[in-house]
Amino acid sequence: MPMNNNYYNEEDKNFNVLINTLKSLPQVSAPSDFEMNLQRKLNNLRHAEKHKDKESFFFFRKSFVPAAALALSVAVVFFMLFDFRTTEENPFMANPELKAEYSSNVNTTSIKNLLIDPINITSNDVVIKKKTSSPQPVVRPKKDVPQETFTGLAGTESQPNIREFLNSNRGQNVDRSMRAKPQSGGALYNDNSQIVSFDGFNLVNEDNDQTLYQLKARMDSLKKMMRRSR
Amino acid sequence: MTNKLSALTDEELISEFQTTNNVEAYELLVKRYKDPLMNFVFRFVGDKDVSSDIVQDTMIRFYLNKDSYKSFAKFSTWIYTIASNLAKNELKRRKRKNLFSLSSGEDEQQIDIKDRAATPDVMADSGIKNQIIQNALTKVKPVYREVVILRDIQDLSYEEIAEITGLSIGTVKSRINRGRTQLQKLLKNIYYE
Repeated sequence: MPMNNNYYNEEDKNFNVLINTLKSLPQVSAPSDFEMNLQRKLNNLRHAEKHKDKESFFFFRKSFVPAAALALSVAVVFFMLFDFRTTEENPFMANPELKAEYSSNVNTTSIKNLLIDPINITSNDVVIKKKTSSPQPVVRPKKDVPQETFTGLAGTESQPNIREFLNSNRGQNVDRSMRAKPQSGGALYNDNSQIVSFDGFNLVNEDNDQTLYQLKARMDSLKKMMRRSR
Repeated sequence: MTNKLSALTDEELISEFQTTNNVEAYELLVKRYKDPLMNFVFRFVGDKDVSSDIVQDTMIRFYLNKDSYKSFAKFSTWIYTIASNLAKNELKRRKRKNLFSLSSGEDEQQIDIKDRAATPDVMADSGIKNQIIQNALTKVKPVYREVVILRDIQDLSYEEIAEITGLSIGTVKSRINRGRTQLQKLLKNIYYE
């Protein structure tokens, strides 16, 4: 209950009339149906709380809402920061790589250097010509170089000159003579006497290292033969 | 049981309600405080129906938040604080409503006309006099009105008012003085009758 604190300080005395006027105001009481209305409101509240409890039994509690929101936001941020989409191309969906491109990718630095200036070919170098025109394969035997063609220089007394030899034979490659012998079987050659391979679908110029080494070895053997013949 | 409870103090009753959830203790406290709170809220808000709703809300909040009451505080200050906060909210709501209402200016004008009609011969009627005092009270700033009502109408001590409002005693005294000064100016016709 409100206490009766009728002690006043000095300042209160200045407002005696006003204070007495205010004290003379009639006390306002609560309406007669106050408690009944209050009881009704409380019953409604209890009823609502029961329904709320039932709802919260089936759904997650309100106290879990911040935690759930935090977890969800963390997951969203995680997937935004880390992209899990694969960057690798599906090999079954990719276009097949062109064989020409594949062959050009072979690391043949030394060979490229040789091809820059074909005039400066030394005795140990191998000359490879590339042509983009469609190759016309020619079947020729593996033992393709007839020794007689090269050993024709044996009768001369001069030092064998490979460059001259090659120049003299350029354009009239001995391989052409062999084209008319398809029965010999063996490697495939195009118009420029370059070895081509057939992988089942395409004809591919074999300008890889192995082929070049073989050609070089062949040239060396020819050179030896020329020396011997001298 | 009820007789036994009625002998208990407010603090003992709320303790009983908190520990045993005894609704009779709650009802007893409602009976004790419904009229003082009604008087306080009515003087503060100036509308009986609204005041009744506010006091009912106060009692409902007391029921729902009974555990927030701590035994070291006085029950009267605790429940007055709830009622005061709800009454202030009502005033704020009204202020917002008047701000966006086209008819709010007309209402203010009507009140002014009543005040001008408060000549001494009319004041003979005590009912009208009370109405004038109430109108004057509602014109005092709410921060001053609250403490003046608590002090001069509800007869609470400065310490209790300070506890209810959350202000220091010095601020309470200062506000009471300012409120009284404002009220005195508004009611000068009555004093010089």
